[in-house]
Formats: sequence, C-alpha cells, structure tokens
Amino acid sequence: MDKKRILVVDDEKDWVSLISTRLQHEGYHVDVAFDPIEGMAQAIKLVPDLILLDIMMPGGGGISMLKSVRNSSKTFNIPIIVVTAKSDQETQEEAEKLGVSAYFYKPLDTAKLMEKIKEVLQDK
Amino acid sequence: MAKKTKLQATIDSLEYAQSIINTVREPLVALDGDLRVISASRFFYKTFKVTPRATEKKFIYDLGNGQWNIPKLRVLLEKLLPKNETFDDFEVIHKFPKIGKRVMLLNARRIPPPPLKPQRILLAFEDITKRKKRENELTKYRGNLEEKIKERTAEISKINDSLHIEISKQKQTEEGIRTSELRYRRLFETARDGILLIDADSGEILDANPYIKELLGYSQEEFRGKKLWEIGLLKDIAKSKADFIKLQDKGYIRYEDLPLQTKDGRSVDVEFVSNVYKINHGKIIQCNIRDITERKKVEALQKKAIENLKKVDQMKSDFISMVSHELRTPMAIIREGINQILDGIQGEINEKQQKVLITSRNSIDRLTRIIENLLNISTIEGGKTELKIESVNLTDIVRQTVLSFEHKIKEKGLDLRLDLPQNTIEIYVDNDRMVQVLSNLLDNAVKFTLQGFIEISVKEKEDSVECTVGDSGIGISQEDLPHMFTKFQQFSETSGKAEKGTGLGLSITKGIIEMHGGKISVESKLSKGTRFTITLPKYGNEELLEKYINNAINKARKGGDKLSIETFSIAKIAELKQKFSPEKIKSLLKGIENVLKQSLRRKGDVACRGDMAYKKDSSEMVIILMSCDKENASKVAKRLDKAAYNYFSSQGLGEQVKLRSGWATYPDEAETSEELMRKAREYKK
Repeated sequence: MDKKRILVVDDEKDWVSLISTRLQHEGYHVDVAFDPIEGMAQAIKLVPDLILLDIMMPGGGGISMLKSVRNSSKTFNIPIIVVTAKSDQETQEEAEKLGVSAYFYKPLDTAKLMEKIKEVLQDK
Repeated sequence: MAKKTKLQATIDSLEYAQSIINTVREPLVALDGDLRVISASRFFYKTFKVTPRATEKKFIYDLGNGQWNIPKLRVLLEKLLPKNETFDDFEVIHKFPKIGKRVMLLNARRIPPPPLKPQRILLAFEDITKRKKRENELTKYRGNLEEKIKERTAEISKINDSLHIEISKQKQTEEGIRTSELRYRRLFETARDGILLIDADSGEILDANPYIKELLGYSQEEFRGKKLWEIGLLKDIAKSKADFIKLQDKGYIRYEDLPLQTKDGRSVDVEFVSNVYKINHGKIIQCNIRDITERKKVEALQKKAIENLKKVDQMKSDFISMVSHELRTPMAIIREGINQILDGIQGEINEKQQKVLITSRNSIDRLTRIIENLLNISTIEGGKTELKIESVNLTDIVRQTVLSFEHKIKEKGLDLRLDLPQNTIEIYVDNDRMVQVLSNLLDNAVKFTLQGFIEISVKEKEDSVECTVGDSGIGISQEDLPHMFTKFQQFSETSGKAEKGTGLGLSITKGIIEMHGGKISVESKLSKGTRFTITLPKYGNEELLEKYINNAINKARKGGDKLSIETFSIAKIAELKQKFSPEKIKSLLKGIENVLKQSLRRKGDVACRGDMAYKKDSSEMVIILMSCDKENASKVAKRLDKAAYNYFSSQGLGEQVKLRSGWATYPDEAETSEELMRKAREYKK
C-alpha cells in the first residue's frame, strides 16, 4: 500500500479532526494522538512517514516529545513538521536545532502545508 | 697860597673826573641835558669800536645803529637830570655794529652833584654778555638738575607706590589665608560628613570634626593622639594597618563600603576616602567619611523595583504568549473548517453558500491580521523585539515576498514590474522582519490598486540600499499623506473607498525600518498612484555592530546584568585567501557561521545564550552573549572552538584552518562598545 502514513499529535481535538479530514482527502493515512505520551507510543508502534506535531501542549510536552522521537533509534529519522499557535522564537529555535522539516504557525495556509508535506515525503 | 679860582677848581675837577674816566676800565659816556654826548671814556671807544668823531656831540640815541634808541631808556635819561632819578642795571640786548650781539647793563648818575654846574649824565656800560651766558648756562643746568631731581623723585615715588601695593597684597594674602583658614574651620565644624585629620607619619589622629564624633559616639579625647585602629572603629585591625602603609605610599585610598563600629557597639556603613596632603613642612592625612546607610537602603529599594519590573515584564510576555495562542487556535479551526467546505472536501455546495463562506473566510483573515498587528505592536513598542540580524540578500527577500502575492496580483489583472539588480545586495537585517515590511507594503499596494501595475525596485547606493514599492492605485490625499505612519490612522473620505484595516500596519513597518537605522517615506497623488521608498543603511559594518552592542549594553545596564562580547576570526585568513578561491572562502565562512549559530542555540551546560551573530568584513564574527560573565564566556568560546574544529575537519581542512577567539565582559572589563570590542579583539589564542 503506497499510502503514506501521517501521525498528527495535537491536544486540540477540533483541529485534529479537521486536519485529519483534509489529510485523508489528500490521500494520506492518518493516525492521531492527543498528548505527547500517546504520541510517542504511536510513533514507536506505527513508525509513520511523517509526524505533524503541535509544540505547545500542556506541560511543555511538545518539545519533550520531539526530543524523544529524535533520541529513539526507531523514530529518529521520521520527518517532523511543527504546526503550532505558540509563536516565540525561543521554542522555535530549540525545535529547529532538534531537527524539524518545517515550522508552521496557526492559523495557516493549509494549501502550503499540503505542499510542504508532499515535498518532505518525496525527499524521503 | 694862590686861591684856586672857582673856574680853575671846576677845570681841575673836570680834569680829575676826566682822568678817572679815562682810567677806569669801563665804557663811560657823559651826556648833557639834551642827551648829547659830551665825551666818552677811552674804554667806550675800545669796547664799542667806535671813534670819538662818530660819538662826540652826537645824540645818544643816534649812536651806532640806533642801539640806544630805546624809548624806555630815553624816558629814564630825560628824567635823570631834572628829577635826579638815577637808575641801575638797565639791560640792553642788541646786535651792535662791529662787535655783534652783546648784553649791556647801563647805570646812570648825575655829575657833579648840585649845586655845581653844568650837570651831566654819567652813563656806565657793563658788558655782561659772558656773565649772561654763564647765567643762562647755570639756569639751564639748574633746570636740568631740577628735571633730574623731578625724575628721580617720580621714580622713587613709583617704587614707593609699588612697595605699598606689595605690602597691601601681602596683607591681603595674609587676610586670605586667615579667611580660608576660618572657612576651613567652619566647614570642618559644620560639615555633614565626617572629617578626620591624621598625622601622616605616626598615624595618630590630630583632629576629628563634630559630625564624626556624633556619628561614632567618641569624644575628642578618645580620638586625639590615637591611631585609627586603636579606638575600635575598624573591625579588621590587621587590614587597617596594612592599608595605612599603602596610603602612605600611594597618597590615596578609598573604601566604597566600610563598616565602622560605634562606641555603643552598632555598625555604621560608610564611604571612606583618605588623601595625603603636604602642609608646611609635614604631611597630613585627611579622611572624609560619609554615612551611606541611607544610600544603601535606597539602592536596595531600587534593586527590588528593578526586579519587580522584570517580573512584570515577564508576566506581560507570558500574557501575550498565552493570548496569542488562545486566539490563534480557534481561528485556525474556523478557517480550516471554512476552507474544507469551500474546497469541497466536506461535500458539494452551491454558489450562494460559497459566497457566504468566502465572506466569512475573508473576515477570519482580517481578524488574523488585526491580532498579529496588535501582538506585534506591543512587542515592538515594549522594546522587547530583538532583531535577528544576519546577512541577507535584499533581492532574495523581495522575490520571496513577491511570490506570495503573485496569485492575488494576477487575479486582479495587474501588471507586476520588477526592477532588481543582478548582483547580490548584502545587508544586515532581520530577515523575517523585512519580509513582514515588504508584505505590508505589497499588501497595501494590491489592496488599493484596481487597475494598472505594481512596481518594485531595489537600488544599491553608496552608503545605503533603496527599495521602492509603487503602484498605479487610487492614491492618497494631501491631507492624509503626513499621517501615513501614525498609529491607528484611517484614511479620510477624500481618499476614496478603501479596504479598512487596523491602521497599524504602516506604523509597525516604520518601527521595523527605523530599528534597522533606516528611513521610509511615501509619495502619492490621488487617483494617480502611490510609492513607498525604504532606505536601509549599508553601514560601515563597525557602525552597525557598535549600534547593536550599545543596545545590548543598555539592556544589560537596565537589568543590572552582565554581557560578554566574543569575537571569532579565521586565523591567517590572508594565506587562505591565496590558497582557495573566493567562493570556497565564502562558503567556508558561511559554514562556520552556521556551525557557531547552531552551537549557540544549544542550551546545554552553559548559562549563556547567544542573541546575535554578526559578521564583519566576512572574516570576523562577533557574538553578543547576554547575562554572561567572564567565566561562562570562556566556556562558550571553548565550546564554539570545538564545534569549529569539528567543522573544519569535516571539510578536510582540520589543520589548515584555525579559529581565533577573544572575549570581553561588560561591565567588568569595559563599559563602552568600543572598549569591549577592542578588548575582545585581543585574541586569546
């Protein structure tokens, strides 16, 4: 099955629902997680082709999940695109040095996001 | 015995007189009553060099060249016989014939005494020419002498005057000394700071002023004759003794904060300054002591206030962060929802539904812009915006921004004209902010242009770079033009229908441009078009660097913080430039810049975080590290050094290329950006 797998990790259920619809419409297989722990578990279990991550989750979870993903031998290679409403430079820099493929701010131009996802998955 | 006859007697007398006259060595002349010369003495003829024939029987006033024809003389002579008014010393100064200028004195007598007759006038002449001359000389000499005496007297008088002045000056000086002594004494007594006078050799206290006595509770006797550390003032006696020796040597010592012990065991914090002075034939130490307890209290309060401000600042940041997140999330959801319906993902919709949804989406976009602007302006105004300066190609930024507007421009059927230079235009700016600025201007241009073109140009000038964004839109009225960059400015009716905005965009744009040290201006004509011109400085890199270091210093100073400057440069760059091509060098430098930047971002083990990396002359990097003291700066430098080494090795240049580093800390090592830079450039390796 050539369908690429995308894992969406975000604590905003409404948002997750919408973005999943769109991703599916684009032809991707979508898995979801609403907190970093669940997110990490899913990542290890499913080893998705791409993770869409919201950095700002309660308890500072986003960054820590990012770190965990990068540190795990199973998942360190998975490209991550951050989609978040939190707009401070500090977090962005931290995330970037941990290695992200792109950084998007909500509300976003979903067309652009789709393009980027395609790009990243192609590079793989 | 022959009786002499009267006649004979007369003749005898005459002969007698005559012989006298002729013997006497004086010019004599006998005149009759008519003033005619009867006879003259032999000497007369000799003196005046005249003959008897020219003289006898002639009127006196006819003689010579009228020398005796003097009216006054005549009057005297005519009076002589009848009145017997003799006269003496009648002076005649005359140029006599044959003998020249002479001064003659005339004496006149009547002879013989009556009642003998006939009466004659005997006129005697005295040539006093020589005498007169000598008299004149004497007078002249005397005059000279008097002159000299006058001069001398004047001199002496002058000397006397200046002596007087000297004496009064002396007196004044003495007065002055006395007055200043009085003044000093008064100061000493009334000063609101403590003064101690100490003998410079023995260290014994000579005098203590009332203030210090009151402050510390000791009396004059308790002070006098003792050494400072003997009274119990100073806590560390050994140190005081050592410092005393230092003071004798250096002549000056200062304690910013010294605790003194009062008599009743309290502690008073003072500022203590000692100076050694030479007085007469000795040395004296004057100690000025200032109670700083109050000042310390105030400083503590200030510190607290600053801490509070910092807290508030942090709270504000957190608030903005939180608000932005809370606002953005629902907006994202709404927008995505609308978009999905419009995109048909949620099923088909009819045209009417589509129109409604598009309107809604536009409103969401508007709302987003407003919120972004509000958040922006609050950070820019609060001075919290830190620019991430890096070397960027302005042309690239322009192209990148244009790209995102291409669609809209095409939609409106407008012509896009780009006038961009071929070569790279490198300026040091915050990339994202510049994109924001250009987006704002382009957004406006597209909004307000219904037909025609949008034109963007970039021109490189000598000291600056100029970027213009122009359009053939509806233009701006003369009324509104001056207020274009004012916050919350909305256009007046005369500018025609326009899309409404928050009115913040341009003021934010201006704020950003000005933070970079640039300028922005606008020209416009109603219904003709508008053009914005941005000028950004291509400062001598040192200037811009200084500007940013100064900003950082100000921030550090306000927060009572430290900061460190680190400089990195590639050692022996000249040699490398010879070995490698310019492109290789450029990529090498860019590579190092990235490596260092990456290294700085890691939070890791160091308390510092690099805020800015700045390139100068393409071969030196300067990094400002906030809240970083000397020790930590050194740690950072080591870490960056290692990262650089790794990078060079990965490029296969491990041994050939080396990084030099240096650092300096504010305020410990320097307080100005120039000083900091200078010290940092004294490379440690």
